[in-house]
Amino acid sequence: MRNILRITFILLFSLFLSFNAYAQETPEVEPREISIVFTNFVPLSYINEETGEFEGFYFEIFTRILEEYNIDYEVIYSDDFFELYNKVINNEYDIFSGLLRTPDREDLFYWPDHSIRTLYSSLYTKYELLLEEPEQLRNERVGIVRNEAAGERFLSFMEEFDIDFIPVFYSGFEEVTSALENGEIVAFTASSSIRVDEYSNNAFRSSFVFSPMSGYFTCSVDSDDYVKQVVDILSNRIHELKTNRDSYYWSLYNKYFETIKIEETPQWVLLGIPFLLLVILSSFIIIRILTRKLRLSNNELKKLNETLEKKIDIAAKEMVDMEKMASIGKLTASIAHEMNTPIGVAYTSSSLEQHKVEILEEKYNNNELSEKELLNFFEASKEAFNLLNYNLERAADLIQRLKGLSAEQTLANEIRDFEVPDFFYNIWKSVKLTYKEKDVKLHLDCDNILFKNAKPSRMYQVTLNYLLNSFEHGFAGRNSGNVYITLKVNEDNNLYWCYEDDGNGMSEEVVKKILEPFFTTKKEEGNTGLGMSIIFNILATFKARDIKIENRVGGGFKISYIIPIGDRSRKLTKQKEKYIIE
Amino acid sequence: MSDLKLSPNKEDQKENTNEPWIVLVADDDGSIHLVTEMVLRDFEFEDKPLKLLKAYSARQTLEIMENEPKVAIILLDVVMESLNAGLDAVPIIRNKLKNREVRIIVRTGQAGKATVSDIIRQYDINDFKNKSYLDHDKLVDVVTMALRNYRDIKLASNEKHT
Repeated sequence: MRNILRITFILLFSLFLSFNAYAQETPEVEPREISIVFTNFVPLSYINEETGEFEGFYFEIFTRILEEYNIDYEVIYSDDFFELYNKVINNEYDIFSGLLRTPDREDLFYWPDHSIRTLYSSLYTKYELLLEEPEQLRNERVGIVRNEAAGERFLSFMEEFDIDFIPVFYSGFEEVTSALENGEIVAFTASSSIRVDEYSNNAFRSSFVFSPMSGYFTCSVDSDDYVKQVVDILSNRIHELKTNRDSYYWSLYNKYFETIKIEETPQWVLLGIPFLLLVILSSFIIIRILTRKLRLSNNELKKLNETLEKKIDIAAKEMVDMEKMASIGKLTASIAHEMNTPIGVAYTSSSLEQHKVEILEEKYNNNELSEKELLNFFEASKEAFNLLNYNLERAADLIQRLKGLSAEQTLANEIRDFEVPDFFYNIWKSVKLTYKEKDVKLHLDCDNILFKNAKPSRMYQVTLNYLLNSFEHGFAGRNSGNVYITLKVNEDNNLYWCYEDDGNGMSEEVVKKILEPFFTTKKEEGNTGLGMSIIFNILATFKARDIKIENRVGGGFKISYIIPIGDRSRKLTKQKEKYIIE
Repeated sequence: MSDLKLSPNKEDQKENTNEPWIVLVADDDGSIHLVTEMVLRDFEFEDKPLKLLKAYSARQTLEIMENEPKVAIILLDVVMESLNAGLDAVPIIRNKLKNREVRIIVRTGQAGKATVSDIIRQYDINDFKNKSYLDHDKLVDVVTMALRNYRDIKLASNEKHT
């Protein structure tokens, strides 16, 4: 069925454009019609079989932005990825949309930050098979749809872990789903963007997910300036739209992605008597799973873990960036409000002084000024200036904090020296300002550590999100509480970091969910899960281990872990004990 | 000092002993009390001086209002012991203490969640000013106008009673 889509839309332009490509050695900035390339990838860009119209998430977003900016464009469509890709690289076409970022395509990205959304691939099985890890598929038959991206990635994934299985190729999802129903295969692969439920009600997405990746658009390295300008416009506009929940980006997102839902209604009624047989079959399978699990060698586990960490990292990045902006925005707004009082008082004092000086001048000019009045004026002026200075200082202090916040935000990759515990105090002050009605105390148990050439923004984000979680959730409905932060360099030269509050704690359900890597992708903004995912994302970059979460419902939350710092730490015993971590 | 032309000290001006207008400043910020006092120190309206009372919380404001029914104006801050403490005191003053005459001027640094027009609609207040926009002249103007209103209300209610 999908084959009908495989119509090549490469226009006769290619001849003209390939000639044009050679003529483009000198960059031109003149606006002109740019060509944008889409491949067949439901639901990002595809041809609607019923209407024959071109549609898709990428397609609508891109063309809308281009129209907003009055940029002339031409749409090129083909399902031959590599043909299109090569033509973009050779400047025959200008912009490639819907390019999926995978490790082997790393060098294709000239504009690597222009991500659109996170996708991932997973395995689909029948309802009865509880598939949790690739080892279960050793020597099993797994269906792969030819030319479908998830299949290729699954092949290399299994190769990476040395798991032999029997790949069975099919020409489309109709075939592969009926093969699953017939029992020819135990599972098949599909990208998260494929609407499997359109083909079968008996294929269920397993919890085993592999190959998270991101959708991108890009242009060739030696594109002319105008194309680069257009790519920048697209990128900036998309980022702008993404930060606004009411923008058309999100309504289109819902239109194209919300429909991808896998029905998980167990069809007990239909199963009837065969159900008993299935129970026997599944318990047999579970026993096999258990015995196979034991066979996984440590090495394989480690390798699996590392790869997954790497992949989760990429996938989480995008959502996390958005939440970072939101949490900083929250603080900025409250500090801006806080500015009103000191600025207002300073303004009143200075206008008062102006008023007094004017009266003084008038009296003096009219020879009406007495010594007593002059002395009174001095007295009153001193008072006004004291008040003025004090309040300007207060305002300056607030601006300093505001500056600190925005610096952390914009210079996310800034590398500089910073010191704890001062660092924690500064974050604390800015957070406390937002929640000043709550009597919460900070208890710092912290070695004096100088981090040299470090990225403070990461530590900042982690701390900020702990604190925001504590205030928003931990101390919700409470007027007071305590926060404990511990940061120590231990004997093995590792950093021990512990965060604790005595607030409400989290429900067991929430605790389970915060450890799910894709938990965030399905949740509304503003949910705790996003804050925690920032934390876990950054902890992964710190290579944190021994992560322990102690959660007492109604009695607080505690998380601790160890961050390896190896030989980068030096202990200075002069004066007071101090560590330097480089 | 030779060039400075000073006129001789006048005899001490007689202190204005007329019964003062009472203005209550309710704010948890000491600077606000200081600056208000400085601006309004020499203020007179219809030959009567001002007497400033200070409250640092909504609770204190209510205590003063209970004991001092002659307060003409309250300059009321919103965020004090709680995020909405100032505004919460308004219905108590109007309904429980049955004081409909006092002019309540809300003076705040934070608009909070509600918009200004929401607050004006919801609470029985007479003016709403942002702290950062109150310079000397405006503060004097606001107080003058509020006192004029207060005076008229008083006159009207006296006529009614007589």
